[in-house]
Amino acid sequence: MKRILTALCLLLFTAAAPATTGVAFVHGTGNQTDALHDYWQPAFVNSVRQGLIDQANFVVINCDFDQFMWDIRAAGCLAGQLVEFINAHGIDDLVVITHSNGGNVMRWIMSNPTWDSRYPSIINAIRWVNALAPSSKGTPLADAAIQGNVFEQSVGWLLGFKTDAVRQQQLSWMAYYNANWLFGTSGRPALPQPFFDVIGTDVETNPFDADSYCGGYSLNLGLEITQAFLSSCSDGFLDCSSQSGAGQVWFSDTQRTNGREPLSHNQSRRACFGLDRILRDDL
Amino acid sequence: MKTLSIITSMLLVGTSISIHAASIHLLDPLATDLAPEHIDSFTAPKSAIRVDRQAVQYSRQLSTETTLTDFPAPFVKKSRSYFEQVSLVELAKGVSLHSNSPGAVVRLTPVGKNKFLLQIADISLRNADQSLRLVDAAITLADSDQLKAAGADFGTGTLAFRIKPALGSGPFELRSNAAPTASKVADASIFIHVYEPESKLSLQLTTDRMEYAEGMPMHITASFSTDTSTPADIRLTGFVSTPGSRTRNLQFMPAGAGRFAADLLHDATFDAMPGLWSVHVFARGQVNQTTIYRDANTAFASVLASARLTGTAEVQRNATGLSVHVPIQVGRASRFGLRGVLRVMGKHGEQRVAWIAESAAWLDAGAQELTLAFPEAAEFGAKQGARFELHHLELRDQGRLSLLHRQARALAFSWVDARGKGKNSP
Repeated sequence: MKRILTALCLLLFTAAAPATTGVAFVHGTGNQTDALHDYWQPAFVNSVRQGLIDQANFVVINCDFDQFMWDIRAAGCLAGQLVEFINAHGIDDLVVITHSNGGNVMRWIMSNPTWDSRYPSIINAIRWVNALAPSSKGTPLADAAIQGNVFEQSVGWLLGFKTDAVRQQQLSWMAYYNANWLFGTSGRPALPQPFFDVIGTDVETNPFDADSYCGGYSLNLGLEITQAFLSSCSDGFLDCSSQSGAGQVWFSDTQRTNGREPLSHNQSRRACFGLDRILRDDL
Repeated sequence: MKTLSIITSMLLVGTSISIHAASIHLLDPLATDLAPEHIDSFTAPKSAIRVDRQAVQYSRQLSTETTLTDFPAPFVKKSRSYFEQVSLVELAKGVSLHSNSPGAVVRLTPVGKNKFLLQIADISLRNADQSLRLVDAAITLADSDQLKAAGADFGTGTLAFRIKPALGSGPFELRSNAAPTASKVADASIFIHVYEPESKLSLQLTTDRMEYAEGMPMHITASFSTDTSTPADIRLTGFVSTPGSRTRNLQFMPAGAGRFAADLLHDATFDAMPGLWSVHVFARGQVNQTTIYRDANTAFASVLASARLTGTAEVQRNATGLSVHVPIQVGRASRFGLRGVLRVMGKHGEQRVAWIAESAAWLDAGAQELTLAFPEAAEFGAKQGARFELHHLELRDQGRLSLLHRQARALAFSWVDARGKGKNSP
């Protein structure tokens, strides 16, 4: 309902001067150099951008999200590519589509407008953020990955280096950042622009069910193990409570997807079960 | 085109034209606030965060529906897992898995300079009744590539499996049939992580705050949480680790009601590296003659006061709004950010409208100031005896990623006070 009201308000305010709409795809954890092919896949991006009046008004972000969200290689890189896109295309109505930890990096920019002189202009250009399976409250899997990665004087760091992005997504770390550095969670100021969550609620890994193959069957195999670390409502990497932890829920997968299919954490960045069409119609 | 009123400006600090001004004292901070009373001396770390040198101001209106938390509740970690590291020789002889519930998830990760990659076919699991190959004992099984594709990068060569619940809660013995004969694997070992999703026994760990300034008392508590029998003969050890990989041991003492506590004074100068510190606790206890192991960790922020608020503020009004100038004593140059929420309160204490304003700039050591600008406040200024309150006043060292000051309620004043006539009233 809030989303509809927001859209109506936007319609009223934009009636006088047509806006130039653009869409940015912001990937999740990882150091991407070709996120179009390696993270999103062209079928997804090309389908979504069909919703634009000018289909050239899109950008696929490539940054190093193995770093902490505030790092110059993470939020700094994202800000640079967004500003370049906004200026080059004259975008004044930006829809940002994030996946997983990309939502946290985007929230960093929206929550800390004075951190970087480029941030305010980005915030002002944003219509809203569609956060696909955002890791807003972290994941027990980050805790599990870090557990044992502790310093013991006798043996050193047991498991060696883990990326800062993994450290950041530990439950206790995200609790601290949400309470002190990020907006949009309960008890904190709302984000300056709407942040809409798309929630993945389950994983299907049945080899005899064709739906399990969308987005790559092999990518879902590990989710059977990772699900054990999570609650009954999860997308295999994140609990639903983490995905809905910041901003406001737009929809849970089965409410809108074709055949009421759930979206695993990998499927929520792919053209699976009509997700691309839903995002396209939203532009 | 925006539903929210956003006014953004990039102004030089302190350039607003003052019509009326009054210097008033900040309210006394509460115990739950963060308000260092002195500047800390410390050696700045080599790796500093790269920051912008351009001053930025930003403000926007907040929804009156927004309820802000005055004191962020510390995180409570609940753990139903433990880990240990064993040598290949030990694994060849058989290693006990300390599980107490069916369906445990076991992760095996090779560690050490010479990583030995375990093969699924070489691993077996034994309970009281039988010895089973891993493929027969596991209900699910994944390798490191499959786990990485799922977003869980547990390290090269990792094997993870879930024990068939039908095999019961254990005890189990894990064994590798691959004899580590080659000299190059002599120092290789295996990290074993056991997670029991169905266990009713968890270790709870928490701190009494989310952040600690230099010298602040720190209270860490740990306890077993269970709806079955409480473990006996509980033993806990633990330590604090810093971003710079330094550690300090913790001494846990019984604190009643099954809880254990470690108390210490926080030494923020122990490590000046930016980043969160961690508390690690390792616990074990006896349940029904079975030893239960649990490990947990949680995070907190260490505050080195590179700057502090002096305790006063100056309120200025101009044609359209209000500015709150906040003097800052800077000990070490950095980019600092100030944030505050200005609330317009009605006669009966109800909140009518609120704005959030922020200001950041590079500040050198010495007496400095940052200004919070609320451009729309004048509209409400003279109406019906409105009073203003500045809440959630926060000072941050952006260059060191450190929250230096957080005060839930910092100023209370009227439009008249801004002319310089009145005093601050708590």
